[in-house]
Amino acid sequence: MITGTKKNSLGSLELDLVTNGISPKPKITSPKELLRVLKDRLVAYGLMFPALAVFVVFFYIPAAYLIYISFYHWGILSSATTYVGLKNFDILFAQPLFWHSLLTSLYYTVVMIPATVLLALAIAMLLRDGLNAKRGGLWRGAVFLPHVTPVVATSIVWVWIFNPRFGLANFILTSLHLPALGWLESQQWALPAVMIDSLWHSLGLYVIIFLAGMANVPKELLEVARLDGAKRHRVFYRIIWPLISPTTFFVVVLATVNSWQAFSQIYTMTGGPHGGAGGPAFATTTDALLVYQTAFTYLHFSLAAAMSLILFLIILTLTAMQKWISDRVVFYR
Amino acid sequence: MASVALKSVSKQYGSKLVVEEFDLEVKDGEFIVLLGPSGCGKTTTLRMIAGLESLSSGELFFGEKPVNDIPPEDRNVGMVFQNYALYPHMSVFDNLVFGLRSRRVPKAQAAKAVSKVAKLLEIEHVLTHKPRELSGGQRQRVALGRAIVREPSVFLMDEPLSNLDANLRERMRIELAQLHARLGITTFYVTHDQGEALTLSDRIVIMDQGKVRQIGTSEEVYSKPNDTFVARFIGSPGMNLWNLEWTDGPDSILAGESVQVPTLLRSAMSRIGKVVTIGVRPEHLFLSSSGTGDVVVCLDVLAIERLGSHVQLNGVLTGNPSLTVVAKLDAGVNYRRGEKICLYAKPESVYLFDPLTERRVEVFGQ
Amino acid sequence: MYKQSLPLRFLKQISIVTVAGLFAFPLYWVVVTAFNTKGGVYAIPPNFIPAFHLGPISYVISNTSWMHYLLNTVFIAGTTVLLVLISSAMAGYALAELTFKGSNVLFLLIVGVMMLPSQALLIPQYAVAFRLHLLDSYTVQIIPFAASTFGIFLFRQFFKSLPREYWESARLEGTGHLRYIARIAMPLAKPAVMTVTLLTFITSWNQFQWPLIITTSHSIQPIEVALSHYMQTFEANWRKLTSAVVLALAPIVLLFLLLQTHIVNGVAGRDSGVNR
Repeated sequence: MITGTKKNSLGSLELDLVTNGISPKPKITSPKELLRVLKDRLVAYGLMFPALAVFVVFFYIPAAYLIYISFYHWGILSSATTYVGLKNFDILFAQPLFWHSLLTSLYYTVVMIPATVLLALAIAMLLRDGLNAKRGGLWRGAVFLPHVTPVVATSIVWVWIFNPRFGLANFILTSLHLPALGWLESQQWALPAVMIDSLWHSLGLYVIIFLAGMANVPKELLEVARLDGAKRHRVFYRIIWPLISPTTFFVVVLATVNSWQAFSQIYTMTGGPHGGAGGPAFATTTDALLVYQTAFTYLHFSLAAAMSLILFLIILTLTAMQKWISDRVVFYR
Repeated sequence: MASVALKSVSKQYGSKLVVEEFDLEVKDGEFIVLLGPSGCGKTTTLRMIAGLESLSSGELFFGEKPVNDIPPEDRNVGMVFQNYALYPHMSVFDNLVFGLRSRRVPKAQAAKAVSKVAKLLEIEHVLTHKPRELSGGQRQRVALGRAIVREPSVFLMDEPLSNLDANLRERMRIELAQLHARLGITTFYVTHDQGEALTLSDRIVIMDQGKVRQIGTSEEVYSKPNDTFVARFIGSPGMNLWNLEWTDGPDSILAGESVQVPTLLRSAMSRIGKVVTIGVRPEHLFLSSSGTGDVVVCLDVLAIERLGSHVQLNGVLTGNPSLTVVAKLDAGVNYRRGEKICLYAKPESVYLFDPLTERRVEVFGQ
Repeated sequence: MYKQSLPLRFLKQISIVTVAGLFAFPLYWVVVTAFNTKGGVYAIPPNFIPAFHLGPISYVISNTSWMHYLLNTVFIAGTTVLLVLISSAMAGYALAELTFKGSNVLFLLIVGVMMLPSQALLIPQYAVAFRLHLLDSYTVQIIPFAASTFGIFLFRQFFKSLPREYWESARLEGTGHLRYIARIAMPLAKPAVMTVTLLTFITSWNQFQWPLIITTSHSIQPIEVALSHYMQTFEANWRKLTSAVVLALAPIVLLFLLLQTHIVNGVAGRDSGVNR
């Protein structure tokens, strides 16, 4: 007997559609019934159409087109397209700048992931303990606010803060009797400056994700541990950390994907619209930036496409690797 | 208005049969109660009549017309759901008028129909309220109103009173009976509450695990249960049933150590076999014998529930501690726990069942 | 949960305020700079108190097409929100309430979009827009964002959580899907509408890379792209540049301050609920 008044409302990505179809297909016994089934289907497809049209035209067709362009000589100005096989990739692999950009992206990502996880987790723990007061929302809001601000606008602020002569960053350093840095004008410090901006901009999101993950840890578990006399750090390592590991995994994946694709803040902080971005001396030329410049500054669309395809594969590989690791480490309830 | 017929209707989910070979002919205006424990298939049956579930096999007729392929919206049925399903963001009036407007009934005409129903159900003063501002009873009436405002030919109710408290439930029960008497719409009513079933129904369909166990009036299902399931399910508490081996004595039959049955049941018992299921309703057991030829039941008293007008004894058959006995006796006698007593029942209030088939065997006749 | 000693609690409160302050500071600093006196901007040690000089900001407002860019952004974001709401509610409803052939495949298509890295698709997306003759238009800034996996999921979840009896009752009364969506499902979905509206609006407001590559005419560009150009024009004039930044930030910051709880809960619900 079916008595459920509420349908499954679990917020999961699982294909519950698969399990919904337990009842056998109703037999179509008359033309009228056939008409009705067709009408129902038409309604369903009609409702799905707008969203799917957008996804197909602007995501799936481009995804397929990407592969096509990568193996052709394709230009926006010349309409002629010729199949060139792996030539685009040969050119790329012979370019030191291409390898350099991959290394830069790797450097950026490898620093950003642990920094993101550690800082976001620390801030989340801090806010979580302090959130009993009504004002808790205010502090949480302050941390999250940068995430909703436009990247270009706030990156300009950071350019100003990192101004070597009049900027706040060097003022603080010199006040602490530390040497002033060249920041965005220095090959060594330009990327770290971008990282600080990125962390400032994105941490709030990850903090909120961690807070949401922690809210799902049953209070009773913590109370039991407390009654058992567990110390605070043990409660964290033995209960909170394992229980939020799916959240941590999610944060790592998101941080990886976002870091490898970082563009707007790098573009704004290191050059601007006249093609100067990525400097000084290519110190901040990441994969994403090089794709942009190759296509829209040098108009080598095929090369840019080939590079995009590689970027696509890198992100896919990283995500798959992380999934593989998480299946062995993450504790799912 | 319509008569309804179900012809070997079955419903299957995967390999699980939830309704099996349901046969029933319902006269126009009849009030049918589908009664059974949860999971017995009664709601599924109701939903098949509504068209919300398809039939796996069998045929369904409204009047002379097969409706298997007719979608729910074209069957002209009204339905009251267990949780009422009133739209929380709409006023009572809008809730009532919504369905009429879906069918493009002109505004003025729809409003007229609504006010007529509101008057009938005495909810005129809450027409502008939102459902959450209503009491449980009022919500119930609005849900009823929404189902009848379209003047359906078949009226379906799925445990409509289960969300009300006991007092209100009783009152609404009476009102439902009056409403049905007034409108005369063919009604299917699902419940697991036999009190509702016994008072409301013209006929009761008792279901268990997808099977129809018995179809009959209140009196029939009470006094002539088809099988042990119905015997145990109807009545509160249900019938005492004991599986006992019997031996023939000189002037009575001894079944087990503690039950004596008059010899006039012998032919029926020997038709069943060495072991029989003997059934006696708790309210048919008495402290004193009315004369010879009574059934005698001796028990050890384990618990005594004093319920005001009567006393309910719970015990086990003496010498057969695995067989429980429940008896409803007059108040005013002092019973003690641990006491051994013997109770009496008239032979015509004794039932016999075949323990293998669980079917009732006629004691007399045949 | 833990009873803590007073000094520890105090320390904790101090750290919370410090962290919050660090995050809020750059936004405060841009205001200070924008309203500073001409010399004050370059003062060392810097001026931490705003001076309320309105010269640069009024210059930016009156001597540039600033309001025009702002309106562009509002128009693009507003239209995107509207379209996302419609497309998400429709698809979400179909996935939640209807069983139809191919729904599994379509569901996978919708999920799959999240797996595509946006940077990798930029070039072919540009190529598709070029083929469709959409380059340098409002349309191309809106349509690619007119559908959202997140929005579809949210509406799907919401519609699934509605008692099934709502639809069954409506259906018995002869109500069609479209009337049911318009009169019952959508009015009840206000929380989902709110969340999708806010998060889509913020995302749309902050669009940069796509309009940067896809538009060339200044007249149709949103504020973020305009800012990027301004950075060249006002390169050395930090008061004017930060004034422009203040104008770009103000609406979204105001929106956030007004609806903080909604936005944060929406994000928390999205990123914890949907992905786990």
